[in-house]
Amino acid sequence: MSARSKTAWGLFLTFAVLGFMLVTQARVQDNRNRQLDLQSVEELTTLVGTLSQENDRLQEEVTELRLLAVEDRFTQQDRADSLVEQERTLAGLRLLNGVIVSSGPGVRLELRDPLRELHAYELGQVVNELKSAGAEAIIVNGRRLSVRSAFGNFGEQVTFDGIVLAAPYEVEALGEPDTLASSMVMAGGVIPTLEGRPGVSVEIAKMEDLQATRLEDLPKYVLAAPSREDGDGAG
Amino acid sequence: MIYMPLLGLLLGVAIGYVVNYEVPPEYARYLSIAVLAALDSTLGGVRALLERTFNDRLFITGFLSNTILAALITYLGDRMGLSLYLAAVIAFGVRIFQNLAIVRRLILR
Repeated sequence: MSARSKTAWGLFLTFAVLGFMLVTQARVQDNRNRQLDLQSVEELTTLVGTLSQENDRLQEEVTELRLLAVEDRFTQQDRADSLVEQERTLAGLRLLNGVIVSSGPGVRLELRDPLRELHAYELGQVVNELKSAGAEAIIVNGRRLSVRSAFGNFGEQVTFDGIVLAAPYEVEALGEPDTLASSMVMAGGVIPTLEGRPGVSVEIAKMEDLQATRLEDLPKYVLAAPSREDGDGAG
Repeated sequence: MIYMPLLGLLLGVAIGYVVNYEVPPEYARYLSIAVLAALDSTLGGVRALLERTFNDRLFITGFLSNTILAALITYLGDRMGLSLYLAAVIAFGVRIFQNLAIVRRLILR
């Protein structure tokens, strides 16, 4: 390679580097200018104003969304809570109405009445006494007592929900056995009163595990409809 | 021979456009000083050519050392909290104008 061509290539490379540097520097400067440096005060003021407005708007949006999120969380919590509450209520109502089989400790009464002294009124007294002593489910001669159950008289015989009861009457109640038993036998209570009648004897037994059968027929409501307000309230 | 620098410049510009290399903003200042030094060196080279004292080794080493030194001085100034790059800007600026004047005279003579 001659000295001349060496010089030529040296110059070529040097100028190539210079060109590259120039272009790169120009682009860097261009980018910087496009940012903030050479913009006029008016432009910058407008820019700041616009940005601050935009900022405010976005801030408002953030606040709104946060509120929505919080509300949503509360609503969901409410729904979950009310669902749990309603399920509990439903379970309670089912138990109360005898829709489901329930079991537990309780007492069994056997009312012997060979002289047909006991009538619907007396049986009603027994059941009422059991209820007020806290009986949670009551079975009369194997039939579950429902909210619409009633005793009736049919000649000499007693009916329960329209079915003639065969003596001796067997009344089972689920509940605290001691409480139920003592409420039955306390002085002036229902059992001593009944036993004052001729021929009547009552045998009371505390039971460890009583089974309350399901209602055979669910009560049907034909004329009674839930009132609108209560219906809404129950959800 | 005369066209080689021009061709080199065109090639460099073309590469610059094609490669689209972005210098990180914190190094942009060093590049700008380096460009100034490079410009000064090239003008010095042109002047030497016209004065027929051109030495390719001197030219190329001068070009490289000037660019690197200029960037180094700027960096040093930044470290020291001094606007040392101003020294480079003034030195190179003055020399660019001097060289330009001499080149002009040499051409017009």
